[in-house]
This record gives sequence, C-alpha cells and structure tokens, in this order.
Amino acid sequence: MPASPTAEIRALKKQLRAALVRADQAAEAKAEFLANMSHEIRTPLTAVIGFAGLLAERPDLDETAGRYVARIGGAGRALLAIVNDVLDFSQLEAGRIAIAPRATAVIDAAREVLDLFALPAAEKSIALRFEAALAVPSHVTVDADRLRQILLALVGNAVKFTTCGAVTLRLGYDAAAERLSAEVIDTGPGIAAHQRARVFQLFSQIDASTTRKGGTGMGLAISGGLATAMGGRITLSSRLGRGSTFRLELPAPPAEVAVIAAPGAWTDDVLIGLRVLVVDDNAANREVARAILEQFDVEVSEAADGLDAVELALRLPFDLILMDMRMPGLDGRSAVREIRRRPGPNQAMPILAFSADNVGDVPDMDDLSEFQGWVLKPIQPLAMLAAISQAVADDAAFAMEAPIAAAL
Amino acid sequence: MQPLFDLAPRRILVVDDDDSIVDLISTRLIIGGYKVATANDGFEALRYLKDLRPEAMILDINMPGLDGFGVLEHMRKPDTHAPPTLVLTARHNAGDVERAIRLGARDYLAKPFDDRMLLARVSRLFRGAATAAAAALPGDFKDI
Repeated sequence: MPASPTAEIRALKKQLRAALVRADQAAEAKAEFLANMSHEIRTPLTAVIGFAGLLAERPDLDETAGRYVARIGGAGRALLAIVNDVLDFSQLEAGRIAIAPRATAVIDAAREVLDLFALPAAEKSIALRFEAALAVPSHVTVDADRLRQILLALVGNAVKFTTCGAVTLRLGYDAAAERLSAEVIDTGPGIAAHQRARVFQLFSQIDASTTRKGGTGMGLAISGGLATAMGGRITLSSRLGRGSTFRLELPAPPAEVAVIAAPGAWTDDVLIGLRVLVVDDNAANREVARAILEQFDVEVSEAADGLDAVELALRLPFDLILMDMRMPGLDGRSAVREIRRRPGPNQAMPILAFSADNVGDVPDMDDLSEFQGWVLKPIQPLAMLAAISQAVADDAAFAMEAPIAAAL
Repeated sequence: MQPLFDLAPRRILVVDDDDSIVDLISTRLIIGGYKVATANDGFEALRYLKDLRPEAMILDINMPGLDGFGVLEHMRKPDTHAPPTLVLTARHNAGDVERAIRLGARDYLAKPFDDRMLLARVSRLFRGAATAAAAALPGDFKDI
C-alpha cells in the first residue's frame, strides 16, 4: 500500500534533516582536521626556518652555500604562509577567528605592504603606485594584522596577474560613516562577469593556466571572510582586457595616538617581549597605551575593570600591570590588594598606578605605597616607557621574595 | 640577555620530544650564553631535574608518556627540585597555558616562537633568583 502524501513528505523532511546534521558534522570535522594538521606541519617548519636562520648567520658560509640557505629559509617561510592560510580558513569556516581592533597607522601599514612587492614588480616592469586621500586619518582603529593580510593578498594577486602597466593601492576614508576603503587597481587581464562571484570561493583559480602562477588559491577566499568578520566587505569590478579593481571597505573609527619621537632608544632594552596588563575602564586609555607599547614589541593584554583585572591576574603571568585608580566596582587600589593577597602568578609582580588624579608632575607617593611607580594620564609616551622599563629593571634585580609556585 | 653582574652562565634544562626543536632551542640558548642540558620526555626530565639541578627549565606540554603537566605535577611534591619553568604550548590553546600556570609554571611561549621572544622570556625566568652558585656546577651541561 503506497504511503499517504503527508507521510511521504514527513519521511523526506526527516531524511533532509539527517543529511543536514551529517553535513554540519562533516564540516566541523574538516575544520578540526585542518587545524590539527596545520599545527603538526608548523612544528617541523619551525625547525626548518630556525636552523636556516642559524646557518645563515655563520660567517664561514661561502656565497653558494649562503644562497642555498637563503632558498631553504625562503621556501620554509612560503610553506609556513600556506599552512597559516589553511589554519585561518578553517578558523573562519568554524566562526572562530578573533578580530582585535586597535589604533593603527594605516597609511604606513598600507605603504609597507606595497613596498614588499617592489622587487617582483620591478622584475616584471610594472609600476607600483600609492595614493592616500587627505581625509584618511593618521591612525584608525582596525585590526592591523588582518588589514595587512588582506592587502597582501589583494596586492599580491594584482602583481601576479598583471603583465604590463601598473598596480595602484588607493586609500580613501568616509568620515561620516567612519569607514576606510582600500582599492587595489590593476591593468591585468580582467575577470569575466560570470567568473567574478567565484573568485572569493575556496580553491577557485579562474582556469588551469592561472593555477600555474602558484599560490593556494585561498587568498581571496580568506580575505573575503576576514573582511566580513571585521564588519566590512570586498567588492570587485572588472573589464576583460582592461584590468580589475578590488575594493575593501572596513569600519575604522579615527584614533588619536601620540607618535614617539625616537623609537630606537628603547628597543633592545628590557621592553622586548614584555607582557603587560593594562587596566582601565576607559577603552581609549587602554588603546593609547597599547598603541605605544606595541611599537616596542610589548605584548599587551587589557582588562576593563578591577574584577576583570584580578581574575586575569590570577590566571596568566604578566611582567607588569598598569592599574587605573578610579574604576566603577572594584577600584585600582582594592584590585592591587586582592592580587597581592591571593596566591597567583602575579602576586609579587610590579604594579604601576595609572592615574589622572595629580595635577603636578609627581603624585604623593605616601598615597601610592602599594605601587612600584606611576604613569600619569594623559599618557606621555616617553614617561610611560621610562616608568615601565625602570619598574621591570628594578624588579629583575631586587625582586621581592616570590611565593609564587610554592603557595599554590 | 643576562645581566652583566652575573658572570656564571645559567644552566637550563630543555625538554621536548621533538629532537629538532630541542636542538634549535639549545643552539639559541648556547649562543645566548646559557648552559644547556636536554631531555626528550617527562621521565628523563624528572631524572635530570634531580641529578643536574638546573636553574630553569623549558618544558614542552605535549609529549608522549609523561607530558609537561605530569612533570609540573611531580615538581609540586616536597623535596623536589622545582626551578622556574617556561612551558611550550600550541598556538590557540589558552586552556593549556592556564592549566600549566595553575600547576606552578612561571611562564609560557606558544609555538612557533621567534628567537627574540624566546631569549626575552628565558631571561625573565631568572627574575628574583639569587646569583648562580657557580661552584657546585654538575656536569652534562653543554658549553659554547
């Protein structure tokens, strides 16, 4: 006896749901597999690149050997870039990519990307041009690493596929919408209308002849995904035989940052690789501190209030904490007492008062006895760097007896 | 990276099951002026902790047999030599870092790391340590 139409539809729906669940599971498994694989490949690659670097530094290397070593290092880094692409893609697909906007000197960042292609462009006799509209602020708040990654992919593609003419990188800014635009304009072969939608899909280089140009074919797919994750988008306009324009648009509010006069002075000092926790309820203050410190390769973490700060300080080790005094909830002084009282990785680490309370140059130190120094707001970059360097150097030489691991 | 007033080279135990990583880290450390001993698994690490009494340890978390967590747990037992330890973890694994810190690790570094970061973090391991007692220097540490 044939099933009734409703029963048949019900059965089909059930099958469909089961198929969807299986497809989701397969996608999840694939992302997981790719993440694991890229980690496994990365470890031996670290050795390849690291040893090539060690070898390249040897003074007794002859010219040929030097060239071979440079090749090994270069190929290792190229392979690492591919592995990173795979990892990025799997993270994007699983919705796990982290976007970290911060104050960025966007014109410099874009120009640096373009400069990376000076050599390949010169070899092909194509011109590289850079244009920035006057409206582009000196600093905007955007994830600089991801922006750089997208521009690298767009400019890299343009240079790869253009055989004569020029590649132009043009920055623009819509102040009302607080959106940054970056157009990469080439005079390459162009992309036919029916193929335009496909260029942002994974593993789709336009035809067999273009795949010979190398690359994973993931660059544009990843760039598109990153732009979306950052709240923006990439659009493409093109004419066959005339060239293509890729237009990236991103939300990027203007940021104010003090530029430090002489960065060279501190770099090989105690600051490199330092881990600093910046605690302030005002996001702008955290951003300014981060922007300055990151110029010196300091690794910055942030907490927006006292409770957050205590919680983070109990979990992860920092070399120094910059602690705002006045915060809603748990104030700076109480947060410091809590960090000192409870056994944790930062119980004996230097903490600087991050304070706007004092009008003069020097706050009343009787009032700051729990702290190992201070940084005044508004931040003066050199004073902040000096205070941090000083506190870390003092700490390394005369550290308090640290009850760290034993007390746990 | 070591302070100038401290003339005796610091002795560091490097533990990783991957020989190439052990070799890479030791080479960097030796060039940086440290003395290095190496181990390929957790059990070997425990033996060297006892016999060589290193002043710091670089410890991989993911190892077959006794892993890095196991070594850290063992170091919490009384009368065990427990020098400041930097753990090596996979990128994107904050959970491992926090667990290692709870178990007493002093610091962490995600693989792959660059040389400057490695040397910067290693020099910070000696924060607060008294100057090395150079006299009672056990053997088995490679020098330049």
